[in-house]
Amino acid sequence: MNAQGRVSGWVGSYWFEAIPRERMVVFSRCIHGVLLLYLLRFDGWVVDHAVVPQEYFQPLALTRLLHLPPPTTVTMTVLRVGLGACCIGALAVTWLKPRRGLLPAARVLNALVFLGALVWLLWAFSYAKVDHDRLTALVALAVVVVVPGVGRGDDQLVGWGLRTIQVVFILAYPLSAISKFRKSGFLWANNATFARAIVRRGTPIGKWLLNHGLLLRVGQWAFISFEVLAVFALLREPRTQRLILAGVVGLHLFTYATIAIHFLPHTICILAFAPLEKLLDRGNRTALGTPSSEYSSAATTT
Amino acid sequence: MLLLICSVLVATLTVFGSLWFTDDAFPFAPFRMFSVANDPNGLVSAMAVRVEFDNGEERLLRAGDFGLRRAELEGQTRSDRWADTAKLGALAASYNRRHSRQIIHLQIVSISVRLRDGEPTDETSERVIGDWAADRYDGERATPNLPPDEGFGGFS
Repeated sequence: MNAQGRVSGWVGSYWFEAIPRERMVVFSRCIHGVLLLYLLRFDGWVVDHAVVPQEYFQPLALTRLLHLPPPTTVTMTVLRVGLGACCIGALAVTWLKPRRGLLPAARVLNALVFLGALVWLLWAFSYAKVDHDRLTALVALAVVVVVPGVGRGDDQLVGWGLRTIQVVFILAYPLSAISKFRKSGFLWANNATFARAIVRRGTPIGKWLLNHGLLLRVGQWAFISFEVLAVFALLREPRTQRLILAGVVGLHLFTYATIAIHFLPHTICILAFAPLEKLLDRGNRTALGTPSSEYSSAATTT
Repeated sequence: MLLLICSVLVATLTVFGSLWFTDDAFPFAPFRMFSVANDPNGLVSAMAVRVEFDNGEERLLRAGDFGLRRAELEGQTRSDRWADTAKLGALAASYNRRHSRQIIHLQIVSISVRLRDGEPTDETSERVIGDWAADRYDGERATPNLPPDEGFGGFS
C-alpha cells in the first residue's frame, strides 16, 4: 500500500469508524439532559445577568459580531423557556420510532438547541468571566445537529461525531496545562495554587487538606503532569485510553471534593468514549425501529 | 471530507485559542480556569460588597446579590485601582429597584488571608477599593487611596 493509501486508511479508520447509532441516541439524551439540568438548576446565575446594570456588560468578540445586546428580564426569560422547550423536544425525538421526516425534524430541533445554547453562553460570559468547560459541550451540541440521536444500525457518521467530541474533550487537559504555564510558569506547580483555590471556595475536605501544604504541592505536580500526559488518550490503544480516562475521572473527583466544581458540561462528554448502546436493553433497541430508507439515504449524503 | 475539515478546524482553533487567544475569543478561549499561582507566603484575596441600608443596618453582601458572580466582579474591579463610583452607583440602583430595603452606602472590599508556607494563618485583612453613597447618606466614607480605575481593560 502506498503512502496515500495508508493515510486515507488511517483517516477512515480513525475518524469514520462505523459505530452503532444507538450509542449516539444515548449520548444525545445525556448531553441534552445535562443542558436542561443547567437551564433549570445550575445556570441560575445566567438568569441573574438580566438585572445587572449595562455598565457591567463586556461583550465577547462573538457577542459583538452578532450584535447581541445585553439581556433583559424579558429576553432572558424568552430564551430560557424557548431553549428549554427545544431541549425537551430534542430529548423526546430520541424515544420515537424512525419514520419519514424524523431525521430532519431532529436536526432542526438540535440546531435550535445549539443556537439557543450559544446565545445563552454568550450572555453568560459577557460579564468578564468565561467558564472553559463549555467548549466540549458546544461541540457535542453541534455534532448532534449533523448526527442526531435517532435510528439504529452501524454508521460511520456516528464514529466521526464521537471522535470529534473525544478529541476536543482530551485536548482540554494538555491545553489547560499550557494555559497554566502561560499564566504562571512553573510557579503554578511550586506555589500555593491549590491553597488559593481552597481558601477562596473550599469544601470541608479541601479545608482539611489546607493544613498539609506539602501534600497540596505534590498534588499540583501530579495534576499538571497528568494533564500533559492525557493527550495519549487520543491514541487508539485501549489500555492507555482506559488508564487515562480513569485518571480524568479521578482528577475531576478530586476537584469536586476539594472546591466543589464538577465541570459537568465538559465531564459528561467522557461518555463519548463509552459503549453507551449497551445501556439500551434489547427491548428498547427494538423499539427504536429499523433503519428507514429515508434515514439511510440522508445519512450517506450528509 | 467536509466533516473531517470541520473537525480539524475545531481542533486547530482550540489549540490556537490556548496558545494565542484571550477569553474574548470564546468558545476558542484558553483553558485558564485556576491557572493563577499564589505566593506560599502571600495573600489570598476575594472581593465582597459592604453595604449600609436606609434602616441603618450594615451587611457584607455577595456579588451574587447584585446578579454577578464573584469572579465577574473581580474581573471588572482591579484590586490595585479605585473602583469607578458611577458603576458602583449603578449596582446600588439596580439592587434598590428590586428590594424594598434601600442601599444608601456601598463599598467594594477586598478581604485577604495571609498564607505561611502554603497554609492559611489567622491573619486576615480588609481593604476598601471603591466607595459610593446616596446623596442622603451622611456617614463616614472611604477616601480614594488608589489610582482611578479606567474601565474594563479587556479579557485576559
